[in-house]
Amino acid sequence: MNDIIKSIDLSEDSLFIGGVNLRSRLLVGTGKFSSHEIVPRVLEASCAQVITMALRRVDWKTPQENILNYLPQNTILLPNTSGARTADEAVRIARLAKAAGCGNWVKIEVVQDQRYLMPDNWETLLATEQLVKEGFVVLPYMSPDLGTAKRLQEAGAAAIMPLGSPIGSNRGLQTKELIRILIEEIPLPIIVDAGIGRPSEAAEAMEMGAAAVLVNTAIATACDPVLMAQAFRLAVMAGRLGYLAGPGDRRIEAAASSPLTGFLQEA
Amino acid sequence: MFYEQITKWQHRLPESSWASYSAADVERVLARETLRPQDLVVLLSPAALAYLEPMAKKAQAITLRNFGHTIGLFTPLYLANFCTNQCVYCSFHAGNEITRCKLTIDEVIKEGEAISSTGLQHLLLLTGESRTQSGPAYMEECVRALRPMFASLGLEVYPLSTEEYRRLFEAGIDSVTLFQETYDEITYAEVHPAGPKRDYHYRLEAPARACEAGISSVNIGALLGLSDWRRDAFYSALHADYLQRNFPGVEVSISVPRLRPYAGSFTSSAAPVTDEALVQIILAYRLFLPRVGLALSTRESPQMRENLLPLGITRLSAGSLTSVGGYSETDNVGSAQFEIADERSVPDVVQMIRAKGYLPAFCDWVNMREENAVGL
Amino acid sequence: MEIVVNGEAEELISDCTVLQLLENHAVTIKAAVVELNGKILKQEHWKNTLLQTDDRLEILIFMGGG
Repeated sequence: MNDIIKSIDLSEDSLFIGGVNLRSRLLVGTGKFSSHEIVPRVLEASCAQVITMALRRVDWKTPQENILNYLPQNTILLPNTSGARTADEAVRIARLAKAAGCGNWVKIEVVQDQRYLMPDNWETLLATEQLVKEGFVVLPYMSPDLGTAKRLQEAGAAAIMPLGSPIGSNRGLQTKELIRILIEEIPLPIIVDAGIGRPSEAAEAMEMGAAAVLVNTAIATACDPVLMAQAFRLAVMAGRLGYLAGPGDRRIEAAASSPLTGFLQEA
Repeated sequence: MFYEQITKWQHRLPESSWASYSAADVERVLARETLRPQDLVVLLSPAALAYLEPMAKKAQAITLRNFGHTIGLFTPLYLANFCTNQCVYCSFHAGNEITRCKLTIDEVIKEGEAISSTGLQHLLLLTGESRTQSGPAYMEECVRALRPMFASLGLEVYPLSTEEYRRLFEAGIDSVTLFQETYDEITYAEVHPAGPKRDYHYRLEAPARACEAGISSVNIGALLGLSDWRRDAFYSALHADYLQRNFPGVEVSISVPRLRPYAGSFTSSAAPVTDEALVQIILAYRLFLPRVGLALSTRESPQMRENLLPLGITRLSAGSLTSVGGYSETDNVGSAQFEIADERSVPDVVQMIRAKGYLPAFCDWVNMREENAVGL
Repeated sequence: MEIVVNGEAEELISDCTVLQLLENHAVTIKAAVVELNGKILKQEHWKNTLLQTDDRLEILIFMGGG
């Protein structure tokens, strides 16, 4: 099996974002794991190069572990602005993350709705505009709306991250049609983020033409997160290969008569 | 600018290798949901000729989903036929001995009353290219005079500046029609030897200027048969796509006029547009642009118009005259621009549309910018 | 003197630098972020910034997140 995987050469098919050529189209989040110890094994199995994490206040009372201690050396850190309810808060978190010395990538996540955790597109747009000006590589997480995506593109976002279904719901590509429209219309990498619950759903997103997917809950809450990470890695590769290979022909039904164009022969 | 799209495709569009596409290529394109420009090329190639029926089925289904059974009706009113251009294919050519005239505002109102008594609410206003005889100020006067009578006023005149479009939009125009005639620069120069129309680029970017000025709908297209129809159809569709992408708020439609007999002696050296070719073009447009309007004028015969209706057409002109005036009993009738093939009256066209199972719509626009808004 | 850390009041007995405060609470220095009175305080300044009464500190570290 490993030989087969090794023989698949996707080196020509890297994803170019923020000045970097990414070999892996699976981005992984580090939230919701049972412990920090399992994280390095999960990340290794996933072969992810871009990893998200959150910035939180230190709690004096409980001993704190910095997730950065558990990340492999050559990963690209993608801090998210989770917790921000407004553009200002997101901008502030992004600046703090940058000051912590983990690069200038940021995933904008601005949520005012605590029930479904739906992103606030408007605040996300404002934060994107500001952070692009400050030199960040901005990856905005958003609800798949074409108008917002166009404005995000104009503002200088490095990619667009539409949700597949609400965060943590594991319900797959409920917004499939809307994502398809973004892939058609926006000339930026479209990275499906949130809601992907199974490897097949990740493959589905890649087959549609998504540039990458971001998976967190589905891996962190699996019975065997390391194995699930490996499954997602393979699913993303399979979906991407399927997309590159091009869909097969479907049979065109032969018409017995030509009711619509028959008049051309009658003349 | 749209011209960048043309230069990009000029290198990629096959000159004599349209024949290189096969049946398998056509089938692959027909299996796709969303088509790209390279797919449009396949649909316009000779290989697609054998697939007109499946293309028609798909086009009909798409049109039904996006437009229902509605067919919008409109008619043209030529305000003046003075012209400083010498387009070799047109009756209004500056060198042609025809009766030149221009309607007075009173005559415009009389014509408007005659037309609106047929029930038509979408009126297209045309003039020849003459800034002295029919400049933007004259157009504006006519527009203001007609505005209370019609729900929608369109303008099909020579290319104007953004500012001129904006003023006319404010005066009451909601739609602009402008045909590039041909997207091929060499042919364009040949058929427009003199006059302001020689400026290919100014004309090419005019629809975009109209959109920028706030116009709600634009209608574009090539005069099929002037040059290689496959290339002109390709660029027409690409132009519509460009306008849709850059001006998402604007309703875009394409017309499919074929070269018709007119006063003059020009014969095109390009291949004539056969009936099969016209069908192929209409179907290719619909499959490539599921939401673009497709307008058919009275250049085509009654039989042809009936047969084309179910293939994706969304707008028809009816009861049309291409002479200056002539709708009312006025004496001031200038020579016609081209021969009309379908001379049926509005009621007859309405009956035809109904007989084919479609719903004629006299009015699908409400002018909200007036207190006495027509159309409500 | 009283300062505010992460929104909660904290009593300081003697003079204290930011670095000392962090060390006292066993905060891993690597990639911790400090905001003092709304402005980011760079790591190199932690050891020579003395805390004053009513200072507001935000101390953050990276945790797992999606």
